[in-house]
Amino acid sequence: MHHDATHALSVRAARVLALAILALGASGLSLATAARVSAQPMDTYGMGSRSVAMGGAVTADVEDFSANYYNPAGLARARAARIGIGYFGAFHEMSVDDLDSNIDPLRGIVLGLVVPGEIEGVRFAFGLGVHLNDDYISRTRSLPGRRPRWELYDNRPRRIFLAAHLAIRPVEWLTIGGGISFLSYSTNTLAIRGNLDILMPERRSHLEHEIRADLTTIRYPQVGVQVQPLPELSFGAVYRGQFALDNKLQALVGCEVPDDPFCTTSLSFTGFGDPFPGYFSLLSQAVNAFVPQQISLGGSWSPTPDFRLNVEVTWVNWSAYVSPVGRSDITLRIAVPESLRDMIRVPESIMGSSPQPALFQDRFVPRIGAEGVILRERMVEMRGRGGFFYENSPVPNQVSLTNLIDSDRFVFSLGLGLRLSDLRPLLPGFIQADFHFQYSLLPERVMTKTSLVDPVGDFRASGQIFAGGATIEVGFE
Amino acid sequence: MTNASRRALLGLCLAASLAGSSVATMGCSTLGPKGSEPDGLPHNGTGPYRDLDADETAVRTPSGAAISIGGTTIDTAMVASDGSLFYASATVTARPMPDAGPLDDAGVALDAGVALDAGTPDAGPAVVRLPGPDWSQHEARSVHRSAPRPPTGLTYGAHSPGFEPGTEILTASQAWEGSFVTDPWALVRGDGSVLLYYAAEGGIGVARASSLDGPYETESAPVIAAHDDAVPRRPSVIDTHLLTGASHPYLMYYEESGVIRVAGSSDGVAFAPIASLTLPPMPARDDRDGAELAVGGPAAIVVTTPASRSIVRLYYESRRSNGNVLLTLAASSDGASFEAFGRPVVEERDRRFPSPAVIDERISLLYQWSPEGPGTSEGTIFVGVAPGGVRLAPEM
Repeated sequence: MHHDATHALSVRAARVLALAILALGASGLSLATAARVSAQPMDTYGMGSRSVAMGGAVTADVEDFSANYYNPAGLARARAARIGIGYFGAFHEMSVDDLDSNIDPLRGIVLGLVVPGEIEGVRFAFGLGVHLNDDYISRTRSLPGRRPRWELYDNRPRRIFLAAHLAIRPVEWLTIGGGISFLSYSTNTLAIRGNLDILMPERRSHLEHEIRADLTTIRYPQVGVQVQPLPELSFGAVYRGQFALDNKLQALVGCEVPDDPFCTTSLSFTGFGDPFPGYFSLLSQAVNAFVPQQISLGGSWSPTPDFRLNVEVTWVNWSAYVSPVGRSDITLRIAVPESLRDMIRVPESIMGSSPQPALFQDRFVPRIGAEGVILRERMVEMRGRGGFFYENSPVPNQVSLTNLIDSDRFVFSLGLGLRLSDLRPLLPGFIQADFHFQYSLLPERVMTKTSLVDPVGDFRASGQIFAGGATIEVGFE
Repeated sequence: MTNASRRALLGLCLAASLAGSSVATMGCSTLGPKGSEPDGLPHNGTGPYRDLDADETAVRTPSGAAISIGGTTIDTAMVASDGSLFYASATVTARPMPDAGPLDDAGVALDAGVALDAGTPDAGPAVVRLPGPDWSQHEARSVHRSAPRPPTGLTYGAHSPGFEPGTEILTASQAWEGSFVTDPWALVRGDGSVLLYYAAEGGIGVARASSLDGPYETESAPVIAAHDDAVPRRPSVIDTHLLTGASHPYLMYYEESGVIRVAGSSDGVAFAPIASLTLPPMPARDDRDGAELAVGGPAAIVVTTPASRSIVRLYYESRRSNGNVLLTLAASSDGASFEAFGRPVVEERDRRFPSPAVIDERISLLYQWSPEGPGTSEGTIFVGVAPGGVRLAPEM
């Protein structure tokens, strides 16, 4: 008997251990393989209407599919299989010197599922979360190094996000989760071939171009834990790995070796006697988007069944930021005939660019969120939510060559949740609809240049972001 | 492609990408919409200035000039704070013949800046001819004012950058002025009165008026007099009350013997020379630029940046050893020590006498003398805009 009990215990322990290894090993494995990954929209706009409405302060209090971003440990708190889908949109009013920066809106679908289970009395859950933008799988923008750009809002969020996590609840007060998040990025090649007429380039030139973009996925780890010492009290911690998107853009015009039979990008200049060949090569390598490693610590307190207060702080390692102004190498060769050399001058060399240190600073993001029951009837429960967080800008004053625009961000959010339960026999579970509205204020920031003859000069930047969305979840108990 | 179908396709592409299937992702070659561009980006007046076209200046002959008067050569010009154009001009008396051979009066001291001595003590002087009118073929120059035109249809600015021929407001009348007056620079004070600085044979003088409409009364003596062989030219005066650390309420920049000098004044009338500006030579970009021999033609303006600091932008000529002239820029926070831009602000190598005007924090104009264009005798005034992507008239 004792032997059987010991055996049963060891089998259970082995299974628990196996689940733990699965939950944590995935992230451990991905730590070794995820050297380069990409930015994500959730860092800026959040994921899932309930979580966003609570200011993102849900590290200690999340169990829907948004746990795939906020804290995968929360997946194991779910008692019902949940499938959710939602739509989200963000609209920007950002300006520099009172001129609209025309940051494109971001819209897309969020969806996910949580599938709980139990093995030998140990609860576990598998989770999947997806953010799919309307317009792009991945957008690459290669801007001139000195051109001002809203570094954290213009291009960074325009990625697909997919995360798969596993969480276990070895004991009632503890949940652990981990897994891998996937993002998409691309490597682009632009090739141009044809004839370029010098005298009438717009009318008599014939040029063809070809763009080749390789879409690849990149991975980064995420691991989290939730501790619930009392039914009304919960704590959570999560670690998200660092990743950087290496953006490579190659443009080829003409053949490096004239008359190369394998070259498909031949370029000839016409308009002055016999055509003569030219060759232009641009290789730009830069970090298109970077997301720093983050650690969030949060607490959730529910003094009554009808009210919950969440607080947390996130450390964001922005000081590891890699500047988007990367290295570029430019080669231009034109075999100008001797008779035309006074008219057509080809520079001996064209200066490319070299990476400039970004000198970002770490930041701590405080968050607070609250949720309360507004209405509770037999089948219906309505909850109101509110939240706030503050992000100080990690971007230093742009006093020299770089012109990365950013400002502090004050984010206010409101939300509403409607839950229909006791729906049997129609549905053995519940239907939950959540809505959120998020307002971000980026107060004016003034950048003052050291040089009085800097081509960009001093500038002011400010903005607002209006975001909103809805999520519907169906739970099967 | 609708958003729904695009989204479905993106989902399939993502799945294929996750599966690592390069074959499957080949079908994903769809491009998203083109990203939006900002309405405008910050700009610090460093150019390159793009010449306005005829639609923007409403001056057709020559196309895009700021002003053009048949049979008359325009010398220097500047735009006052009310949008008026002050310019010096003279009627052509005899047109130079194409086969007339080299001019032998290129180095006359009366018009400093036209020619430079690029020679060495051993080799003897070698005169470098710079682009510019031959005033020996003209009547005496006088100063004119052209009132601003309404900004009909313009997208930026309170006034049109192009002008109709103006009226004569100043001719040589004092003994020290000799036969001509030129290089006008109008400073409008807070009470509406005007100080009109100008150059003549005996140096730099000032004329006063109670308003821009005149009449302008000249002083009997120059404020900066010629001395020895040095003749001061091209005065440009700023009110320094917005600057931090300026030594005088008024600063005058002027050209003398191939350098730019600064003089100070407490009332805008009596000036005392302070020093010559230290401006490092602008390096050549290629062999067409030549080496810098001298600087001149200063024109200063006080601007307030978006960071609410006021600075002096000083545009000037960099005169080169091969006869070219490059227009460039330096800036200062106190009006005395300048930081040079080190590159031209105008692509052309034959423009002269720059004069800035500011439309707003970002957009500025630069009036320049140019030898180009049919219908002019020996050049006229063109105007450039920066940033070059800005159009001052609606797209046709």
